[in-house]
Amino acid sequence: MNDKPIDTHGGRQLARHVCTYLLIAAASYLGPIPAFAQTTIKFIAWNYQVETVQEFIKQFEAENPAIKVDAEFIPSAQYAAKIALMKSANTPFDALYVFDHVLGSWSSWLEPLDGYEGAAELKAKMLPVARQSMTYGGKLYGLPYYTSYFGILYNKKLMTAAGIAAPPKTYAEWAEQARKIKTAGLANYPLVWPVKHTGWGGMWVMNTMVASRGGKLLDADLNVTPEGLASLKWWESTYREGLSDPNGIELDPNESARAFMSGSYYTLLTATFFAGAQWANDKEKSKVAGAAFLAPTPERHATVGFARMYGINAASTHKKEAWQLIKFLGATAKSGDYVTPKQWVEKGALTWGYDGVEKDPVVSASLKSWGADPADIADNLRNALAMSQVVPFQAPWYAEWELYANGVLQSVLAGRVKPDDGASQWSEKAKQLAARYAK
Amino acid sequence: MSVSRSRRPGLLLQILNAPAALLVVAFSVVPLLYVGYLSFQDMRVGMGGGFAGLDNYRFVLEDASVIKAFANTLYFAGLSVTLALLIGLGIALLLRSDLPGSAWLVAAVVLPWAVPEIVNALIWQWIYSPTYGALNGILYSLGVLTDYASWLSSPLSAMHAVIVAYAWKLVPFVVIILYAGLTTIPADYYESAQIDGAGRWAQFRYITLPLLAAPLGVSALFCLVWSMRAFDIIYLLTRGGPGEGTLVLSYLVFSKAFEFGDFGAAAAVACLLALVTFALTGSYMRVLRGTRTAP
Repeated sequence: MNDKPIDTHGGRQLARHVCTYLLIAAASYLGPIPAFAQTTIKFIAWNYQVETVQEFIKQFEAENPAIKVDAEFIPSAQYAAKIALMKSANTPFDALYVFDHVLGSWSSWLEPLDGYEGAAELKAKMLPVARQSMTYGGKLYGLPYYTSYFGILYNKKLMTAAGIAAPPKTYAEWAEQARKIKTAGLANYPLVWPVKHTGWGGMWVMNTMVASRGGKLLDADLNVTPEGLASLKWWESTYREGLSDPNGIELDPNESARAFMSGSYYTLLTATFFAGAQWANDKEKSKVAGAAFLAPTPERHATVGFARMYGINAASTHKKEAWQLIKFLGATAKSGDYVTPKQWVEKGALTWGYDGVEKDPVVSASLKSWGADPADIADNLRNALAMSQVVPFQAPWYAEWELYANGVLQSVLAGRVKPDDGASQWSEKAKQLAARYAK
Repeated sequence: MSVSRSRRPGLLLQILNAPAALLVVAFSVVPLLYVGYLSFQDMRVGMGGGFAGLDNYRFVLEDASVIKAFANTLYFAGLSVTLALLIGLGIALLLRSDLPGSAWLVAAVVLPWAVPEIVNALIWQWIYSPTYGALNGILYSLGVLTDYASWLSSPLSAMHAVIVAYAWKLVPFVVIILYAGLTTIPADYYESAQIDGAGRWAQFRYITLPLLAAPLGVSALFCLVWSMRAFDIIYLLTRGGPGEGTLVLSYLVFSKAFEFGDFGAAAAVACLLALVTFALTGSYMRVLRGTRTAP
């Protein structure tokens, strides 16, 4: 018989060891234990340069190790519909891309950003077009993903071959130059436009033309203004005369830019980023690389701009972290430098929403590589009118009206509807929708 | 005793059918009723709320786009069903004629049926492409076209382009139903007709067609219902354009609900579409009952 007392301490120790091993085994099965608590935020974006966005997210996570970003990318054509569906189904998400043309209807569930730390300073540094495009009802709802303005992208090879000295300064001169190029047999249809009825396209070009004439498209009573009608008539005449490509009516902004890159066209009125090194000045993909230049709009040279933005879902439970993310992506890193906006110029030809970004040497070199003068680009961005200064862009009914108006525009340009009748249809629809949303 | 015997199988059948019936109620009846409810509500994302009475119906019936979409839907459905029935009948007759290689023809005919609608739409997107499309390539090489055409640029050609693309998807269903119908017609009828001196056209007119009335009716009914709610092909090929040239009611519902967040108006359009479809199918079934002459 062993009179030694039972070593209860040793038994407890053994039990402790077993428990520890079990815990370690369980933990290794479940995954690595983070060194600190991590918050995961859900970020929804459309699918432009997904790899670039993922790279920026990695940079953000490296700077903010306590935050992990779960990004979901949606094709841009389905983006607005998918977000509307997610909202109506109460799907949780924290931060997202926002189109400025839907801000009016999305503002009811987007988080106003004015009260966030540093928001006032950033707002003060924003370009007017960015600030106006992201403000609704006096509240700021976004930080700029990018801003852009509309300009004439022209093919200098064709211009020189036709003996034309400089891009057009008036609408009459524009048509005259196109006639010259067509007569010389340099192009079947010198002009191409983004007119497809879905996405931005025809109506944004229309708004630009109206702005360049110093007017608005619709007056206070939602009737088409004389500047609007003059623009529509001029545009329609270029199709009637065979200066604009009739097959281009079904081209969206991307497709029309690719058409321009084939070298068969003299001009394309479009958003400036299509002149970038990833588009018209891409040596591998574009036949006009090195010959594609930007010119201001004719007449008064006024143009319109727009801004895409980062916003926060007001229903988010991680608003503070979401703010940190959108601040990094849409403004400054902890260093105070515009890290992401600067990289977007180089990697995606997307221009910025803050004053002075063009002075960065990398940004400046990138702009020069696509045949643009950084100072010109900065001036145009600074002076661009927000779309809402030309059309009721932020009205909750605008997106629906624009889709309809794009369709009417196509009909006018194809010669199926007279410009005066098209203008009446625009006006009638605007009044009908405004009445519905006034209730 | 005899009563309980006759009840038992009925009760068992009802119990066995109950899960399926519940699914139908959950996934068809409830959503249908909910859409009906929505159509009387002011449901705009970020706005409105509450009972709207007939406002949504008033708004959509005054909307020129809805009227246009309504006309387009009827044209699209009518022509695509007619086209599918004509082509399907032709192919079914070919298959029944026991031509050499008809087994291969069956496989080729069924192929579009196996292709998902979204893939079907993408295939036709490539076929109609103005720059690299197969249709342009073929017509250009045959000398029919002197330049590549943009098939989706004008409302008229775009509408017919989507009709052809959609009919192509419907044809296999029609062929299968009509081929099955043809196999049930006794060969004696044709032999008797031949003895009486009836030619091929007379045999078709007085034997095949009347005895195929029921399968033709079933095919037409299904194709009509599907065509009335066709969405994928429109979404991928034209998105309702150019202008409103191919705008159909199903696309308009999607657009109003998910692009513009006006769920009330979208529900009102959906209810009108459902009513029109019910009316068309109801009257068609009534006609069908009157013409059923199969032996």
